[in-house]
Amino acid sequence: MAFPTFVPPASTTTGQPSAHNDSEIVLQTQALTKVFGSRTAVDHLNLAVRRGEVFGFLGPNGAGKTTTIRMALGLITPTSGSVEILGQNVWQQRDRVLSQVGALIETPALHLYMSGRDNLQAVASILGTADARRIDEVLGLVDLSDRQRDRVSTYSLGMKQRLGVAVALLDDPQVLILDEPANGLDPAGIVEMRDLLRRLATQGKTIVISSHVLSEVQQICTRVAIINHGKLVTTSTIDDLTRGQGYFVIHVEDATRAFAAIKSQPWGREATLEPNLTIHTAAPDGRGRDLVSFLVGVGCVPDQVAYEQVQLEEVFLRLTSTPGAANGGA
Amino acid sequence: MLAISTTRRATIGRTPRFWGITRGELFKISRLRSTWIMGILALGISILPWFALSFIPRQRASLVAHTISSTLNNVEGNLSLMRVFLGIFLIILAVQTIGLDYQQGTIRIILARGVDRLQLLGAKALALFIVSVIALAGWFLWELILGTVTLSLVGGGFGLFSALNGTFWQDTGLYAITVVVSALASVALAIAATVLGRSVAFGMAVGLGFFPIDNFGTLILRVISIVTNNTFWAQLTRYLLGPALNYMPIAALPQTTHIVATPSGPVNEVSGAFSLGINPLYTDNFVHTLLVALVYVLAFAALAIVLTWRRDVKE
Repeated sequence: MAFPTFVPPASTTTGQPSAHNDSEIVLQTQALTKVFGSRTAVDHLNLAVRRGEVFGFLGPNGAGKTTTIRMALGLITPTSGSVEILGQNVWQQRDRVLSQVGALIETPALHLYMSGRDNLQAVASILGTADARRIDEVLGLVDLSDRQRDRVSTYSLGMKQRLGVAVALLDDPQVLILDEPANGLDPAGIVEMRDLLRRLATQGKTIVISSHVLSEVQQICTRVAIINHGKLVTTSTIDDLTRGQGYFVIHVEDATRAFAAIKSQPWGREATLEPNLTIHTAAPDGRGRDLVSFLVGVGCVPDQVAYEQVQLEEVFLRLTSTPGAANGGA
Repeated sequence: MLAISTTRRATIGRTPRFWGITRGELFKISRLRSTWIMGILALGISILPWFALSFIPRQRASLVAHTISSTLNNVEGNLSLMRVFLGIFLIILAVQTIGLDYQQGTIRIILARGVDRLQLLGAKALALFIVSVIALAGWFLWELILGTVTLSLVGGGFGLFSALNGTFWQDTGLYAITVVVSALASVALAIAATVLGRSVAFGMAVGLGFFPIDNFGTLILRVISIVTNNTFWAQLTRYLLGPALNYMPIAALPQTTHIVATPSGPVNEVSGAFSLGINPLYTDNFVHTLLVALVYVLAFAALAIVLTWRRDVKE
C-alpha cells in the first residue's frame, strides 16, 4: 500500500526546540559532522534534547547513531561541529560534563572475570563515588542483588545488560544515554526496563535511547529523532509523527463497486483493494464520517469502518527508505 | 520490584581524579586470578635454589667454606631468574591491564564518564608501577627470608649470615637495580604493544615474543656478520634491548671470584655476574646498557602516548 505519503512535521524538523517549549536543553549538537576517510558518517547533525525527556534516537544500521553517541561521549573526535551537554562543550569541559552522564553503549561493557559487584566497585573507584550503599542501591534497582557475587562471565545477556544500566546509574547522573537498552532482555525484563526508564524520567533525568525495538521506543519516548545516512530526517513527538498517517479499513458487501467509487475521488487515488476484499483508503479531509457519508451516497453502505493507526515502525521505514528524505534537519 | 532512590547524592558533579582512577585499576588488577597464580608460582620456584643449597651436600659444604661467594652465586642466580620471570609476569599483567579494557569494551565506559585518555593511560602505568614495586619488594623480602633461613639451617645459627659483608650487599643491590630497569622496560614494551594492537592477544604476542626474538636476533646478526665479513652487523647487537638487559648485571657488577661446584670439589673462578640470556656481541659499560634501555622505554612510552592521544575509541 503506497499511502499516505509521509510528510515530516514541518515545525520540528530542524532539531531545534519548538517555540512553545522553553524547557532547558540538556544535550545539543550543532552541525556535528564526522568524516571517516571519504565516508561522511554524520553530516551536519543538529539535535536538541530537553530536560526530562525520554528521547528516541533512531536510524537504520550504519545511519550514524553510534558515531553520534560516541562523539557526544567524547570517544570519537568530531570532524566539525560541537556537542553541548548541560550547556557546556563536551570537548572543552570533558571531565565536568561527562561525569554527569551515564552511558550504555551497544553491548554492555563489563569485566567478565569480576563479579557484578566488583564491576560496580571498580567504576565507583574511578569515578570517586565508592559508596557501598549506593552500589547496593543500584544492584537492587536492576534486580541483581542475588547474583552480585557471581562472576559476570556466568551472567545471561539480559543480566549483563541490566548490570550495564547499573554502571550507568552508579553516580546518579542527570543524563542517561542508552544504546539498545532492551538488547537481550526477555519480555519481563523489557517491561521492567521500560518501567525503570519511565520512573527515572519522572525524577527529571534526561534519557536518550537509541534502539531498534521501535515498539518500545513508541511506548517510552516522548520525542524521537530519525537519522539516515548521517543526516537528520526529522525530529518530532511520536504523536506528531503518527498523527494523520493512518488509514481506514472498510468492510463492505460490494467491495469492487465501492473501491471503484473511492478510486475516482482525489482523496482515494491511493486506495487499495486487499485480497480479503477489504478496502484500505484515506478519507475526505481525513474524516471518517465523511468517508461513511460518501459510501452511503454511492449506495455502498459499509458493514464496518475502522481506523488503523500507523505505528512508528511504518513511519520509520517510510522515512528511511524514501530517497532524499534525509534533508529535514541538515 | 524496582525501587529508585529519590535523594540527590552528594557525589554529583564530582570529576574523576587521577588517584581514584589508579585505585580502580589496582582494584581490577587485584581481581585478576593470573596475578595471584603467577605470584604464588614465583614464590614457590624461588625456594628451589635455596632448598638445593640447604640439602645437597656438595653445595652445603661450599656454602660453609665460602659463604659470601656461594651466597652471591645463589642470589645472582635467583635475581637473574627473577628478572626473566618478573618480566614475563609484568608483561602479562600490563597486557591484561591495558588490553582487557579494549577487548571487553570497558574503556568506553570509563572514558565516557569524563576520564581523559592520557589520564587513564597514566593511571594504568602508575598502577602497574606500584604492582611492580610491590612484586619486587615482596620478592626481595622473600629472598632475604629464604637466605636467612638457609644460612641459619646450614650454619646452625646466624654466624654465616653475619659473614656477609658490605660488598655482598652492594653487589646484590646493584643487581637488584638491573632487575628494576628490566621490569620497567618490560612494562613499557607491554603497554606500547597493547595500545598499538588494542587487544590482549596482540599485546601478549608482541610482549612475550619481543625478547626471544631480539635474543635470537643476536645470533642471526652474528651469522650475517660472519657471512658478510662486516662487523657492522655484530655492532648492531649493542643496541638490542634484550641483550642489553641481559648484559646489564655483568656490566654493573665488578668481576668477582665465584665458587663453582665441580665433581672434584669447589673451584675458584673469576668472572662477572651470572645472568640469563644472550649478551651483545660487542659489550659496553653499564651506562651504555642503561641508555639503550632508557631509549627503548622512552620510545615505547612515546608510542603509547601518541596512539592513545590521537586515536578515536571505537571499541
